[in-house]
Amino acid sequence: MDKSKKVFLGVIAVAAIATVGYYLAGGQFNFSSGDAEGSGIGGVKKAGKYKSENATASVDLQGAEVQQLLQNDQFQALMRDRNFRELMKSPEFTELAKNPEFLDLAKNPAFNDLAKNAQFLDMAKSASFQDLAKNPDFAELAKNTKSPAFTELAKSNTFAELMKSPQFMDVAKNPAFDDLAKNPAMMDLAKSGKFTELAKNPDFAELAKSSSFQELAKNPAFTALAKNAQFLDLAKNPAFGELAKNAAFADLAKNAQFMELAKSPAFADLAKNAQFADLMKSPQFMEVAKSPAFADLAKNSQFAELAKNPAFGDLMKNQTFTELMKSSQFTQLEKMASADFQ
Amino acid sequence: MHKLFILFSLISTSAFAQLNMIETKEMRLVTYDFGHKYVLPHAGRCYHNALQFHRKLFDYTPSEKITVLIQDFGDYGNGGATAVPKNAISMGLSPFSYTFETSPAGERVFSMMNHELVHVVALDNSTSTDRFFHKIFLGKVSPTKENPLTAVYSYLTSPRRYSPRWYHEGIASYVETWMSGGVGLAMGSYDEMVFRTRVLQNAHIYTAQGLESEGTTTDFQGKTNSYLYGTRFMGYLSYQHGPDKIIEWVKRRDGSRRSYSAQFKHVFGQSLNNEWKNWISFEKKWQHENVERIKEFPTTATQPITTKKIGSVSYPHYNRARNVVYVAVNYPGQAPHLAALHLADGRLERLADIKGAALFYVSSVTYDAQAEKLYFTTDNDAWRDLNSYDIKTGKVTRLQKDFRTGDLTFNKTDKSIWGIKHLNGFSTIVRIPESTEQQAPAYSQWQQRYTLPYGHDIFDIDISPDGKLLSAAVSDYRGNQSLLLFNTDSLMVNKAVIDTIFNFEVSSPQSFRFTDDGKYLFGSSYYSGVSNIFRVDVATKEIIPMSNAATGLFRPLQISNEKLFAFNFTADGFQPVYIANAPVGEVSSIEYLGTKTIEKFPALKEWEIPIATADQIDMESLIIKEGQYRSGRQIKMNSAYPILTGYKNFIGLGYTFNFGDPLNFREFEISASYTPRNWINRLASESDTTNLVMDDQEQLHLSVSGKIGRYTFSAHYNPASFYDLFGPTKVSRRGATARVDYTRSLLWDMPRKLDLVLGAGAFYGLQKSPYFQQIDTEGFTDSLFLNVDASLIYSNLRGSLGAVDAEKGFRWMFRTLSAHSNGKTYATLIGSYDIGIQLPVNHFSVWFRTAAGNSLSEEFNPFTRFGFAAFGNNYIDYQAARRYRNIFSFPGLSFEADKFIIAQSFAKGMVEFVLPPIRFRQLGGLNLYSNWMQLTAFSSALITRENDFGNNRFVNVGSQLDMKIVIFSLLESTFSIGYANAFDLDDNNKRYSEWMISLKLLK
Repeated sequence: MDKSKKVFLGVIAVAAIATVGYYLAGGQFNFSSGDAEGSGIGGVKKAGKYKSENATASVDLQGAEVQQLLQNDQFQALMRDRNFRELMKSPEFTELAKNPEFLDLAKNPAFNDLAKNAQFLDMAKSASFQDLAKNPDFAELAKNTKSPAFTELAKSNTFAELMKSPQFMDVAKNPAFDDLAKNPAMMDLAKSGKFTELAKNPDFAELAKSSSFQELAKNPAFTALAKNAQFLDLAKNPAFGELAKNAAFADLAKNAQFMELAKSPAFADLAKNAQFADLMKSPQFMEVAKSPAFADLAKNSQFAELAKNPAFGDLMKNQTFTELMKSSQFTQLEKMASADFQ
Repeated sequence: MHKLFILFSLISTSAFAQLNMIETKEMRLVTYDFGHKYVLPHAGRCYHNALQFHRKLFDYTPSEKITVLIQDFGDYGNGGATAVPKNAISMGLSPFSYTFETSPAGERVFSMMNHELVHVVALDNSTSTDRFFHKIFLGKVSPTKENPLTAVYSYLTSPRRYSPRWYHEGIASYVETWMSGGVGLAMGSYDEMVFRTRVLQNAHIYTAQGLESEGTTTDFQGKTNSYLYGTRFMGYLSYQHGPDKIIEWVKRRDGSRRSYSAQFKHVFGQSLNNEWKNWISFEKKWQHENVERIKEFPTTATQPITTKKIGSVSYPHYNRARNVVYVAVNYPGQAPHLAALHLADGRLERLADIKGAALFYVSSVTYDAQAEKLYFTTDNDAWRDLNSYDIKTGKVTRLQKDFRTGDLTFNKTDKSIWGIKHLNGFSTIVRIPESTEQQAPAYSQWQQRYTLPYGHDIFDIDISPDGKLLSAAVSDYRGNQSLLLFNTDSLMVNKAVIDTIFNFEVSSPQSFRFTDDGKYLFGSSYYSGVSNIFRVDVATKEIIPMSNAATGLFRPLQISNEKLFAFNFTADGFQPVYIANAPVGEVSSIEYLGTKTIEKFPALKEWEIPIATADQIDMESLIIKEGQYRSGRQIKMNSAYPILTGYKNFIGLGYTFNFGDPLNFREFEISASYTPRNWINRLASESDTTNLVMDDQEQLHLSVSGKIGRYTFSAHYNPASFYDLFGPTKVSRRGATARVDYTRSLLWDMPRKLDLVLGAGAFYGLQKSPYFQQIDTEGFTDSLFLNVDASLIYSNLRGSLGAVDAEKGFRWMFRTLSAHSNGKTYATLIGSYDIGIQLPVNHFSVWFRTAAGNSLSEEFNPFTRFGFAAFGNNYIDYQAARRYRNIFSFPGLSFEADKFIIAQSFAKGMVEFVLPPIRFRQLGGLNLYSNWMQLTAFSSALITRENDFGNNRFVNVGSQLDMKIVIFSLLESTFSIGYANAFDLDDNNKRYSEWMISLKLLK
């Protein structure tokens, strides 16, 4: 199928979708040329003006219903938004815009909050974060609603300090630490600070041989954390163990922005959202999130409002529209709109 | 049609990289916006349907495929067509303006396609002789002022292009009306009123030539007169002689006459002038009969508030406390403005200018009585802006730019403004809140309340005092127009709950507004054929006539229980009047010439064509190609023709080849000429000896020029010019030059404009300064100069209806130029500032023009000195007629004088009075006439500094008389005569005198 055919079919598809949206939105116009006709005006002789008897006429249009959206004030404002236009030129955004999960997510207030979050937007540029975002273990950990330990803990400065420590990460990666963490009795001992009892455990003994652990043990933050119930919950979580082995997580854990982000309530809320977790795996999303235009657009209240409009989602999925938006003529159109001809 | 060229040049300037195109065997349909795609198949069907009809009616075979551009560059529907050099149509999608019913309602793509294709047919249809010349010139020649012989070639290839506008618009509007089944200007109520009023008031009805020379320029209806007179004359001819005759007149086929006027005589057996006179006699009789019909019942007495006719008017707003009506007005002689009409004494107080006023509704105006603010639209012929005018402080503030909304009304209950937005051919009811949750500035945002389906246009809205109802006129595809009430609560949730008051059918319910108590709506309608005032009882929907007007009454306002304010139509424009606020008993109707014609010639019914549906014309089967319109790939040769050139004091011959794409986005031209040594120009002055000598290498002249988007380029080798054959100013130069310019509009808010022009050029072999012919620069013929320059040019110039030149405003320019040669750089700076003030007398203005410049180099070369001399016009010329305004002109000191001014730096000032033009109603014949004459007087002072040539202090005083001449309806020329004295203040006021006589060819 050649491109122009696709464009044509695209228009038809938009028309069909928008027709449904149009009527669902209550856009019916009941005016009829026959309404109130024939009664005349008392005392006034109507002019004998010729008019063809062929008074019925219909016009076949294709996709006119999409105008309900095109005429929308928020949509028009968005069209004039430089960031939106920049994004529309990016293939990643137009690909992402077709993703129903993205459009669902865009309606989520937490997403909008996060999208405004400077740390998230900085973080999104980091290669480590992008790698991590694709990691199913991270997603698992982040969305673990039964055990909110990670997000709770993340708010702790102590944890943040510790996460930056290479020794901690070495320890966390050690299989012995894993085994230890899975043993509830050992965890209770750790909580109680009874290290003499703990030392009897072969796993701990194994761990204690590690130079990293020895270094870590000197760290007051670790000793404080070791008593922290949430940490111990986290340590029990197999995903954490897996994640700790991940080099990207290790890199990221040292990143102050990540820790700031992790503290953010919006991130915490969103982390529980399955769609967000899925999106985080999407390369398009990470590409878009890196873009400064996205950061600005995310702050745009019109975008958030429009994202709630079903017709907007349909339009975003329309290839003809997105192709046009990408093209340089759209920039020219915007100039026409501002009449500056710059 | 000329607008088409402006439009295309705008598009070209904006340099669309991508335009989408659908191509059939007979059409290229081009658009640029996703928002227009919905209408393309429909437009394609309308095109093929109309073309099929025209082929049959006019025996027409297109000379080539016709390119149709669908655009949305204006808030009201508009179209344009041309056939020279290529067949092209531009079609604006917006709804028409129905103000005073100057445009018929109906399906606009259908009616515009029917109309514009008539233009193409009338221009493109050809005889075997025309086609012979097409072959000779390799196409249809477009006249260019640089080569005026092209006007002759153009006439040979497209003779009917040289017909008056009334002829083209008349036939197009007439045919369009019957193709639409009677919806069009040939059945126009406004048209009947215009001629009835002229007859009733014994006003002048223009002759065919007077219409062109005066009628379309001084009358408040401007160029609409071409449509009014043209359609009416066609209607008369059709009624008297039958519709076939007018088609025969317009047809161009073997045996037909080249000129439209000769063909008229050929078809009708007598001269156009005679038949025009017959029409005027007929019209008088026809209208007297209609007046008698109106007078069957007592006509309404009007009490003028002022004797002044104020041209076109907006809807008025009444301030009871001040007893003032606020209204926007537009009449010849003064720039359109907001005004306060003091009802006590009829005084019209000017409040603020309106940029970009509409011809008929002037501006959409609404009023917040509590805050004492008027809200009004500007740029009314383009994309409208929203502005406020504070009555207490006189301050104008722009609130929203390009918000594309008009028909404004004010909701007193929440202080919101409501209006109708036009976008992509749709009408949307919008609300402009005073404040928003985002704390945006007042009235800086708008909200979509309801978008009407395509084909339903809505206008003249008002909100009831309790804010519950919105009244509006709404039209449909077939031109039916109803007065409706919308529930505003429903509109707030984007739903339309409608109550139809009355379907006025093909007469428009105009300007219906609620009374202060909300009980009634007052408005007007041509229901009886005459525009009368009607009162609607909102509760019962009963409609009562309040007038029986002889001409027409519009835009009523209830002043009291006893009287209504209204505008009475007169031959010179609208006049504010009072009428009694009392119902009239009975109102009779008038006859329409169109109705009588179709009764007499029922064959006109066969002209009606349906709006083709997908079942009738399958566009998919017609489309042979879909893709992008790439102007580069569409470039073809437009034409090629011989040229006559002047080089120094010699005469040469050559040939020019012109190329371009159908929409003229890209074009270029190649010229080559040769100057024999013995072809001496005897008219040339011999005072400049360098012009007497021509080396062997100077005999060949080559030139290439063109434009691609924002870039223009040119390259010349020994450039020559036709105009160097006539007069003292010479632009031909020895040597080779190449130049590229990039122009970018930093501000485009017409008439406000700020352009940045960046240029680069190379010059080799120069014998003279490329800019100043009086500066000989011997010793530089082997030097290469590389130049770069940058200019900023701002202008904001305005004129009133009937103006022949800018009447107020200002313009400034700053230019820096840097020339490089042999490792050295030579820089110059030039600046100018002009300001014009409109004086109280109509079309009378005074201008102050100043300029200064400095060359930063003491060294003398072709680029480091300025030269001042003369008016600058040649005997035969193509550049601006008022060249004395140029910075480097100095009338009085001719090129022949024994004194010349060469300067390294200068300062110059000029005061200029531009007197009102004298209009000629009848000076000349149909194919050669003058339409105006204008006198200007000026005086300037010049101070220059130059070490080698000496400093100078000069003053001059002079005057110039310009007379506009029109040849073959379209070819405008200006005949100028001027005289000036210059005085050398450093030489005992020695006097130098100069006469100037010039004919500037083409616009």
